[in-house]
Amino acid sequence: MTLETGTAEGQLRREMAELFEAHGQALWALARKLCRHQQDAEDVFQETAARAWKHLASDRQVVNRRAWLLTIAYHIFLDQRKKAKLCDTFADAPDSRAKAPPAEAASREEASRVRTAIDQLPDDVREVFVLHYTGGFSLRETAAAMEIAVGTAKSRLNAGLIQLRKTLQ
Amino acid sequence: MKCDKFLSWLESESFVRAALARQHARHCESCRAAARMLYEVKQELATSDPLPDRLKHIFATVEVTNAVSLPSPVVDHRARAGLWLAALAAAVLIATLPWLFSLKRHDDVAAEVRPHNSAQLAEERRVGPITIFTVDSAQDLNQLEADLAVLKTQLAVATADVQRLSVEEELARVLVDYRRLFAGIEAR
Repeated sequence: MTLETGTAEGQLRREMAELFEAHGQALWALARKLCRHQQDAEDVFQETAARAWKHLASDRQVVNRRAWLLTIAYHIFLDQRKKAKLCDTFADAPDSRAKAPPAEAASREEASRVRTAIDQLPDDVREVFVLHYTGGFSLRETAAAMEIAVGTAKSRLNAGLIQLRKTLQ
Repeated sequence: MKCDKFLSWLESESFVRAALARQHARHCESCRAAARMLYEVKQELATSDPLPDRLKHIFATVEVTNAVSLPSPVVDHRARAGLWLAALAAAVLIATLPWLFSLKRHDDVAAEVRPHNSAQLAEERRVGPITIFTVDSAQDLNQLEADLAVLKTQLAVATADVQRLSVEEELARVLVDYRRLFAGIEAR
């Protein structure tokens, strides 16, 4: 397949559109949960789209597109963190869901408390939670994405559950 | 089961453990609260602010900004073919190195591999450093048969000579013996 072939390029565009339609929101959610700042999440999102297009353009086949796409995003997040592009000092202000009527102040406060407890988890534990619960990965897929053993992923998940229980109860 | 195992069993991929954990929660207020806490954690992780509008077209427009940086599949194939050809040429060169080193000067080769003296040469010609001898096989065979006949004759003559020499030696010994005998008789 060459880029000059109209049919091939049209096919690629359709694939990208389908990919976004099916998994775009999940990709954004994962990027948003991994990154403390919205700008960093946007960078992860854009870079993931670029890499996905390059991969599809080279005619490589993908079996599980959701897991594949989200794994790319996770690895980009790790690369950016290594390059110290992400700022962990100050997180973003609470998102739009916090702008709720006064009657929901209690639930808003509770959600904030839960969010804080999650943010206080160690990075490797928090990433297991994000991949498993936000990305919808099984523990096996989570371990594969993080390049760790399944047992290690389970241990981190259990450690996080114990810590959250202590913090929130 | 113990309360400290409750959440890990509840989230276990094992159906049996998860069922036991749920059964435990029916009788344990603390673990029921922990289950509600876990539900809130899952809700928090599952929900997110909506995708910004400026990102909605990223997947559709990314190829425009990345088109020039994509490697052409054709170039890759050519590069691969070139690599394969180079590898093949190197393998052929290595395989022929012993033969190349074994090549000698034309004269030396010619001296070692000249046909036998009686070979009937139909043609002798040179191709670069190599001299090619063309032998007339039929005529060469006839000559070989003639040579063989001569050798047979020579062998027969030599055999006869050997036999004659043997007889002559015997006669010489007999004569020596007779002379001694006659000498002894005369002395008496």
